[in-house]
Amino acid sequence: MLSVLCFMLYAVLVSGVVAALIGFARKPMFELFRANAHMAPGARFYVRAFTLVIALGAVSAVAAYHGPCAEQAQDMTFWDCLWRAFDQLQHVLLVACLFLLGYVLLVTFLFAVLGRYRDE
Amino acid sequence: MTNEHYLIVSHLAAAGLGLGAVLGTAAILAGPHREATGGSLRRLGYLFRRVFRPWLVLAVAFGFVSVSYIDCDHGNYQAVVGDRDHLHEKSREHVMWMASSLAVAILVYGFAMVPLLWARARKARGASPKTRLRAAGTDDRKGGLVP
Repeated sequence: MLSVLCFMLYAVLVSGVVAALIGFARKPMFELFRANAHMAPGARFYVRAFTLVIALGAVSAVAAYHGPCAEQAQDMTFWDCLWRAFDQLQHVLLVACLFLLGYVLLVTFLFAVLGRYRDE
Repeated sequence: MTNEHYLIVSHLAAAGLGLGAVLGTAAILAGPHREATGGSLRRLGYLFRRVFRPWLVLAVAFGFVSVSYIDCDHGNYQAVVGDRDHLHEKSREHVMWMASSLAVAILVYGFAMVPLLWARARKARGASPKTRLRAAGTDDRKGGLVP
């Protein structure tokens, strides 16, 4: 029973991290894409792609979740559960950091190429 | 369910999940992608639109085939189907690889879209070299300055 609770806790933490990342980045990204008329057509694509990339990265990290083995599951306490969830969360945070870094590089590259134009 | 059946069902489920992920991703990005690839560069935009879905399918297929059931502890089919935990582990690996391949594929495609948007911007501003030469009063077909 506690092993299921472990996974639920882990899933809630992952969802929170993903929702926070997406929530923090969406608005500034839309504003960035409003810099000029040449970047605007790509705005919706890049923002949706960002959401998908972060969400898929989280799915990939959740799929890598390792539950407690049979001996450990028998005498688990709440704290074991919490520590296990935090331990597994490091994969999610690492994957999220890498994908976020990749996306920041992409948006920077896009802005370096197109952001210098001014609307006439 | 025997382990052999589990192996078949897990493969089919993973393939279905991958296909669903591709269709879902393509559906979510279809409208914005059309918006980004439309406009003045019709042929290049058409090429991008044609390539987008196969690109996603290839990425998921790459993730699907990246899982190896054979390892040091499970050297052949009998050893693989004899260990249910190993089969569970590999099913999870299928999901993990397909999701991460799809995420990387979308990211890489985003980089590939940058030159397209740039070319569109240049065309919209009339800044191609030929146009600039014309605007400057020179024409390379006539070999120099146009009076």
